[in-house]
Amino acid sequence: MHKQAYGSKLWLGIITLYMISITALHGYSIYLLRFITDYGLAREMDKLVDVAIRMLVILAILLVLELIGTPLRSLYLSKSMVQMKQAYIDRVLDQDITQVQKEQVNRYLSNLTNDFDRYEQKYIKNLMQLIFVGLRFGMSVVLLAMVHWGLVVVSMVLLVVFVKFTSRTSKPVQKTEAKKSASLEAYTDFVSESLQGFEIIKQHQLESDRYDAFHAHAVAVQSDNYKVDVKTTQVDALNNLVQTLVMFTLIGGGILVARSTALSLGSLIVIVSSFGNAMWPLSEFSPLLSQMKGISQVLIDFEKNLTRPVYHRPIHVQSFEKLSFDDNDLGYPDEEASILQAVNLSIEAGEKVLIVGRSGSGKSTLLKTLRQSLVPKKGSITLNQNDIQSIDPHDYHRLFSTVDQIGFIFNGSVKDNLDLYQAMDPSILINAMRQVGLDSLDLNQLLINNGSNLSGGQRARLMLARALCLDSSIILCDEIFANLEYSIAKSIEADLLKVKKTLINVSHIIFKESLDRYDRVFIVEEGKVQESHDLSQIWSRMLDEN
Amino acid sequence: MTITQLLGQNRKQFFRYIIGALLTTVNGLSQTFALSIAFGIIEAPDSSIALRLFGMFFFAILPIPLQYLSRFLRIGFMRDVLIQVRSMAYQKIMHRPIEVFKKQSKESAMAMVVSDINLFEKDFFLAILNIVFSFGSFIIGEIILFIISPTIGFGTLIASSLLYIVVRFFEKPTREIKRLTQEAHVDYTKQLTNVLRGLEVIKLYRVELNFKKPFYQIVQHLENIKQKAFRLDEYQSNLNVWIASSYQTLVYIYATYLFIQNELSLTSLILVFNLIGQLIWGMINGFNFINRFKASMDIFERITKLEQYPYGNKAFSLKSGLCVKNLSFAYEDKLVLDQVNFEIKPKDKILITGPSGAGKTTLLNCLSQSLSTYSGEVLYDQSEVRDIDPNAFLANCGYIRQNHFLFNDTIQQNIILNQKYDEAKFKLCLKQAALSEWIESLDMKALHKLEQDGTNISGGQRQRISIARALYHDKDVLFVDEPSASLDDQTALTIYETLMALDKTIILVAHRHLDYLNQRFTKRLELKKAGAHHA
Repeated sequence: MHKQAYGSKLWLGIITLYMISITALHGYSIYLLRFITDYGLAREMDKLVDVAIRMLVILAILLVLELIGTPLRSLYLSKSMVQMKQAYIDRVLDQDITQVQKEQVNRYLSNLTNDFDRYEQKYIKNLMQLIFVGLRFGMSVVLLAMVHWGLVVVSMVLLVVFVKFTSRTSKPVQKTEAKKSASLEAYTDFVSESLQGFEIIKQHQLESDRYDAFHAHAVAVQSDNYKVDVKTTQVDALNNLVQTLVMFTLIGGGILVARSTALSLGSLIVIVSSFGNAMWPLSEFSPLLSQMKGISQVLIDFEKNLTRPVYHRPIHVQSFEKLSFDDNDLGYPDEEASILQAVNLSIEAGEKVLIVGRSGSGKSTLLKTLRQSLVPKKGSITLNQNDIQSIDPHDYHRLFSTVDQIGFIFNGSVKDNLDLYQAMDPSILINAMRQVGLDSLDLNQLLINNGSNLSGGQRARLMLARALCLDSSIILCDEIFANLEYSIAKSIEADLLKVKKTLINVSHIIFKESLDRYDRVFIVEEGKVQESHDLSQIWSRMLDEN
Repeated sequence: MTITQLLGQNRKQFFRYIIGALLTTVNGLSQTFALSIAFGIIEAPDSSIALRLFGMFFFAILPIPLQYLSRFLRIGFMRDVLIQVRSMAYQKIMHRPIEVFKKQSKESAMAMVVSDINLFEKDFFLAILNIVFSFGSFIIGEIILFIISPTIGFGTLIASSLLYIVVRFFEKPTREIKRLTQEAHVDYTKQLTNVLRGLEVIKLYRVELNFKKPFYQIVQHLENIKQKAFRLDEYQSNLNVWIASSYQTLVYIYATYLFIQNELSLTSLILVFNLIGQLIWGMINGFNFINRFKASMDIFERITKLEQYPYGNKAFSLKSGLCVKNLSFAYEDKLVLDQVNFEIKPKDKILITGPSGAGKTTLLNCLSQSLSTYSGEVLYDQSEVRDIDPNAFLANCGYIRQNHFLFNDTIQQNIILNQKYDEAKFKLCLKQAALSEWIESLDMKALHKLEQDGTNISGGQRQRISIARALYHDKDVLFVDEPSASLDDQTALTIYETLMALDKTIILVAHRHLDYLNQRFTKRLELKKAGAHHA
């Protein structure tokens, strides 16, 4: 992302050229003011009129330039933001599969919304401002030098002293600002929790308790804000005092000189206004730079979020032959204890495998490991004799079609959700929809909000149809029966068992009559995964309900 | 509460705020005065120089203590008002009935309490301050100008009116584009969330390239609208800047002409030049802030104005029973419930079944004040459910939803919520919800802390905690939606047995274990797919 830090460089160049021309004209108009004053004082009417006419021409040109400036600036902004966001999106899409879990996705989202907004406000816009004030500053220096080069030296010394002073005084404000952000974050978290838990809060009439807690957060935010205001007020007053003293000492001194020597009043006006023009950019430089420096942290965060973990995964795999777990311990990286111990399990091409287990037994851990969201705590898992961590991720994931509990439905038509914008023969789609019993659904129906306009069962079936449409070797089902009525679940299971692909079905819901149609059945319980050869034993552990 | 009432409530603080704002008008004038004293030195006799230098420094520095005092008079008011506005916005959202809440995205609700208030904060106070400052300075400055040169005074009035016309001309489009930008932002976040949540699916199916285009379009759309807003803003301010600086130059030329004609002293020349600058730039500021003030009022209205909801204030009772007559419900034009009729007595337990999409959850929502746009009647002891006071209703009816939300707190706190802790009752609920064994295995037992909506526990555990919560709260009527979706068969059985043993009215929606449930429930309602009859 660092290459993109300045946004669109082409447009930055264009607006810089533009700003140079407009600043030069401004400088020229101040230069002319000097003559208006001097001719006025010398009572030379003819020359005054001549200068006045030149001045009017410049004003007209400035109007045109001001009007041209707007589209130029807005183009630079929007080109830059689009370019940066697209670069970010490219990187997100190119991110490793292990980096797309919920918390990472939330980070991408907040980068693409809040952080980019802040970056635009505090970096890109400030960059334009910085160039602008820099040019103003340069213009003032040139004007001062035109009166007398010594003035440049004197004013530069004064300005440097002033800038040093301001940068020192702003330190305490930064500290208080940090505290304010912390309370603001706590406040935002609390609001977010209230919204997530809205139904529960209403249902149990917790509004007044929540309101009290909210109020406390609001008071904390505003009190911290108040403290920042107090600090800023003090610092501002001090800076203003120094600035005013410097400015008026210069004016007073200049006037005394003008009074006794040949310095014309016109020149004095140029000096004062140039000095003001130099002072003002300088007082802007340091807040602009510190804001820009502060916000450039965002780019480092972007980079951190987008960095692909470095893997050495050279092995390419074209087809699926055999998958085996060999005495692996599985669990989460930040927890010491493993959830499943000494897992032994092997699946061969074409096999239909059922993995059963009670809720909380560790089925999801097994699946997450298979999908490489988790790395085994001990040992390695092999696919066609290769460690899965050494297989090219694209090759690996292409083997699987996953249908899971949560799943995801995109905003778009049913068709978009099936083919995921790939070109696909319509008969494949229609066939898949028939297989999952969704043939009544219109392919062009629009789905919104993660499929909230479908029922739970329809969602699950749509995701299953998606998996059927896509070319893969293994269908991985994660609790797909949980939201289905039994008759449909059974017929879907029957269809799945007929598909000429490897099937791994992880479920806590099982059907007695189809148990024997699986090639292997594994039971996950008490931290172990065991293959069961006695189907009646599996059944007896489950509730007889059919 | 309107803004007037809000300010009225903080009358004293507001008064101090205005005093503080008025103090700032002296600032600019004082420094202009200092400058004109300084330039007067050129024509002044030697004897008065020291006094004039002193005068210059005095008037130059005077604004600084005034500014300091002004800020302190203002910031207390800002703090108090913002605490109130934040609280009002939060209350507004929490005041919404569930069905209203669910119709809007969480992002837009979040924006009301976070970013909109930041916008309000930024605009409202700055606007009041700048309006008072600009117009205050303008009036004083105009009086001085009229005294020095009526022509210039009059000209300044005209130039200011010109500025005002520009501002008015841009006012409507500015407001409109601001609204559009705000909408575009919400829309952007919504669409982005949609694609990003599906990132794993995109990766798994390797369709990254296919999603690039829709992804890019989302970004492009937002930036286009932002660009329009930016241009409008810039055109207005550039035009004003040009008018102001041109007028300033013209006055300078004219004043120099007057000076040549001996109609103006050097001190007045400097005073006029500086005053014009100050007034004209001040007015640009002032006019802009009128728009921003109006915009901040719009935001205030939007985030704090309480809405009216369709519920009544009748008391809740369930002595004779619940009677549902000809209940129908449609999502847009899709009929979901078609003429549902049934009746139950207090303490009855009814099982609702049906294929997916038949409207089981919708029916529960209609019965539980979570959906009000149905046709037909839902009567609790002859009282229509929409006419019952929501608080009274909630005090008597519990609802185990499919969405099991957990707070960032201990398991125990998540179950008892705002109720008193009763150990015996708590233990019983754990047992009834088949939680005891698991909780005993935890180091901290029931004081185990749940993180971020319970992401550190399994789906089944979440579901059972949610059930235990409803049991602990012990309401007379219990709506239960698919209590076993994430549970294995044994646990599900325990839960069903618990529900059957409760001495309460229970309305249960289920799609699993139907053979078992059909045996246990004497009252059953089977929903058919409504669309099927009307296809």
